[in-house]
Amino acid sequence: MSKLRQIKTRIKGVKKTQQITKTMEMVAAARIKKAQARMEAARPYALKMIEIMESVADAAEDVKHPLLEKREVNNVLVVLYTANRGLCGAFNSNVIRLTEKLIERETSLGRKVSLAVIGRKGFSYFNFKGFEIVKYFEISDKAEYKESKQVSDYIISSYSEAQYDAVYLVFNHFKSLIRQIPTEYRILPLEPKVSERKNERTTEYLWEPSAEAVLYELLPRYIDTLVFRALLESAASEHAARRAAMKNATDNAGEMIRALTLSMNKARQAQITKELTEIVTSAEAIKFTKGK
Amino acid sequence: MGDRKLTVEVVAADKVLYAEEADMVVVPGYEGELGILPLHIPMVSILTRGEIRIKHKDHIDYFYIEDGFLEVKEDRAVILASEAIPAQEIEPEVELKAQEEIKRMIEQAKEKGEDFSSLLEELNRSLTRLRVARKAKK
Repeated sequence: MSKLRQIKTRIKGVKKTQQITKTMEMVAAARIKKAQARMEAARPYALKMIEIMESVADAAEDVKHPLLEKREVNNVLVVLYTANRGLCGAFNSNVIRLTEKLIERETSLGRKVSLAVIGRKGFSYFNFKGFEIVKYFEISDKAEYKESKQVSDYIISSYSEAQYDAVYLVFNHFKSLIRQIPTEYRILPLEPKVSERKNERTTEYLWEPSAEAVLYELLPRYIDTLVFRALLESAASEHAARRAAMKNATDNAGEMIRALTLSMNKARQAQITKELTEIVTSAEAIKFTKGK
Repeated sequence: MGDRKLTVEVVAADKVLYAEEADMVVVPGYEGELGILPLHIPMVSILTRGEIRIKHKDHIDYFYIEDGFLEVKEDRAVILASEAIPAQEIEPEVELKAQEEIKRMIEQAKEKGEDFSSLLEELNRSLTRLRVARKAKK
């Protein structure tokens, strides 16, 4: 009896878990769509910016900007993008592992690595390991431009003050719904892009007040755009990873329920058989005593 | 100037806020206001804090802009804004309240002898927003 009841309780428990994972899967699926739409919405700005950047790089000569300054690399800043929550498969651990590799590589080159973290998961990991985190950015799940701005502002000001000589972003690149690639991207120092289509360019712009001034203003905004882009990619990847993880969990729960139901039926059968045997035996016994 | 139109787009970092055909657009340029008409030569300009006016035959659309860039090319004016708000979305009461608050904070900072330049900036922003909102209402 007790075994049967035990199995029944377990099935109930697993079913409840399955319900939760299923809901989470559906929520994540809805959020991916939103996140993808936001990535699309951010494209026109980024594309236009790159377009202007390319033509301005042709027109401007000898611009001195703190973000274009190349120094011997002694201090490196790594900006890690993680999620605020878990239950999203290897999403967090993938980028954390990549970050650790990057830190190891840069340290072995004799450079001092500082770590800035976005998202609670990355923070608690490195905090627990006792690795010093120079800056922690709390960013909501909405991942808005304003929030990303505090990250890029920090990057721009600390690089301009020569606190760091190189800056890397580590984030999950959103390749597709089923593929998110942990990526490291060196954002600073900037390589001024000289367009390859230089000769076929027909538009001659009038620069107001001058090409150099436009480029000067454009560079920090360009960093903003890159940092924001990475944030959007990371957000979309997180939802995709969570959806996949929750789908797996739901499937596994289903598998478990099937197995448990089977053993429950077996247990019930065994109990019935046992009861039957007992009845038959006792009946036989009574008959036997009466017959005497 | 005839029927020639100009496509005006206001693009923020996270979305396209506005894309319409208009007769003229006036933006806060680096050295004062810039009016762009159709057939303007290709140009890129830095934009400063202020208002954008997009003129149609029978009405004008107003925007507040924090700063950004303007690109004009082939009857298309694209405004890249780090922050832009359509005038009708600015709430004058909220701005007034915020200004009171900022002024109080500035007074406090003055007493303590702290730096309040960023507060002044904030106040300036709010005042500009209010001005744009009021102008659009007229």
